[in-house]
Amino acid sequence: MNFPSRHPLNQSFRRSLIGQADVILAIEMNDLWGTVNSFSDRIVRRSRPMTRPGAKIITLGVRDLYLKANYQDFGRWQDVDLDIAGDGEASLPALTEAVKRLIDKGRKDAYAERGKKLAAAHLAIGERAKIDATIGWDSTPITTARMCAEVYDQIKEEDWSVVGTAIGLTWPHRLWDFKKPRQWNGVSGGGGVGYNLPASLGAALANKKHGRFTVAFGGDGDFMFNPGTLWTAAHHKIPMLYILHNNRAYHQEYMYLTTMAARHGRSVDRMDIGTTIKDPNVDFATLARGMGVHGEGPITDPSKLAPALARAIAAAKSGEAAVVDVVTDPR
Amino acid sequence: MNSLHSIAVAALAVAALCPGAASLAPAQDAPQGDAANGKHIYLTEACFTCHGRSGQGGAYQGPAPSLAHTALPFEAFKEEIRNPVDNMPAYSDAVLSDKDIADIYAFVESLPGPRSPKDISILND
Repeated sequence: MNFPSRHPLNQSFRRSLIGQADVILAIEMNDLWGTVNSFSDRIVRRSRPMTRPGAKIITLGVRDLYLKANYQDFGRWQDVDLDIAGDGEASLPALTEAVKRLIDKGRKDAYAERGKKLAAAHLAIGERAKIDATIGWDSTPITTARMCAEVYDQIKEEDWSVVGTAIGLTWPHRLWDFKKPRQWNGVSGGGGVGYNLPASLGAALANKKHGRFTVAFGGDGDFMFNPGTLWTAAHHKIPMLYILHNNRAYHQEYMYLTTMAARHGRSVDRMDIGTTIKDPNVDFATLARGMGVHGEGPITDPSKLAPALARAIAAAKSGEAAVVDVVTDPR
Repeated sequence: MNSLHSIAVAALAVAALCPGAASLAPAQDAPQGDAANGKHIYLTEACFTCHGRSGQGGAYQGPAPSLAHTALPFEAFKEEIRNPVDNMPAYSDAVLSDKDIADIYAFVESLPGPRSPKDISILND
């Protein structure tokens, strides 16, 4: 379920608000435990609820209907007060009307006042995102903020749909105007191990018959697991713009090993061994062309990114899959 | 760890860091650091892997704050490295000396930091 990114009540980057809620309604949520608990990944791992004592948690969604196999990703178990198996999107209009009927004049005024504060906070977070995005704007390797801003600048007039993302890449939701549920299909339970490219192509296939413009971001480490997906894209003529967030590493692993070494008082200057994808650098654009799809890159100069994107977007709009290899800063 | 979970965890770390950062005045007694050596350490000791080569910030288990032209006083900066509040690794003196930290501080202080987004048209879509 998506909430419009520029709606004044969107408080996605203010997680501390969870501690103020009397009732939490989680609609089609993937990782409820991870949302309502804080987690500290230290040598001794600790977690604690972020909810206030007595807060009620209600879930509404179809996840429970997907029970199907011995092996399935659920994440950690979160106890809830009321679990409703139902389609969130279909249920929301009726729920909205039911809530409206219960709002008297006093409550309406109170909600309006609270709404003003939330809207102001939302606006400030949006402005902060723009300011943060300027840092290192002209740097090489290219910042992930610039990569995402450049992509949005060229697709914003399309009927776009983002169907994949690299680990930790929040810039689209910080900068882009998400208005429709189909513009974002969420994240996988585990990133960086080959899920993103084939899953994105599956979503692109679903989008194809609707004429939507599919765009996906993905890391180079994740890409290394299943590059043959591109041949499938070419064979079945599935259009997709795939932006390779190429930090030349299995970067989450790189950071994790650094963390572990520091915790044990060891030197952290050799954590690139076995975690980076260099010497030689992979030429992903050539690989893409070899698989029969459009390839651009490696793009290291930020001023060269916009023209490369324009060519790739033209290819995707003509019915091809296209890969743009953007050499980026890590995150 | 699930990435949604990770984002949420990191929001806490940033929330814990930023209010203090905003209220503290720049230190007058920051030791003289060697920005060139600080850059070398920043890039070899993995600071950049989470905080970015331009100090723009990034993400590990959650958001890693921007360090470019940091508002943190030196002592707070050092404390965050020695005893971080959340998922950032703690760097002991055996891994990073006080001199190393002073050099890193000099480097991040020398970074240009943000510009006005109004000067970049595509950030105003």
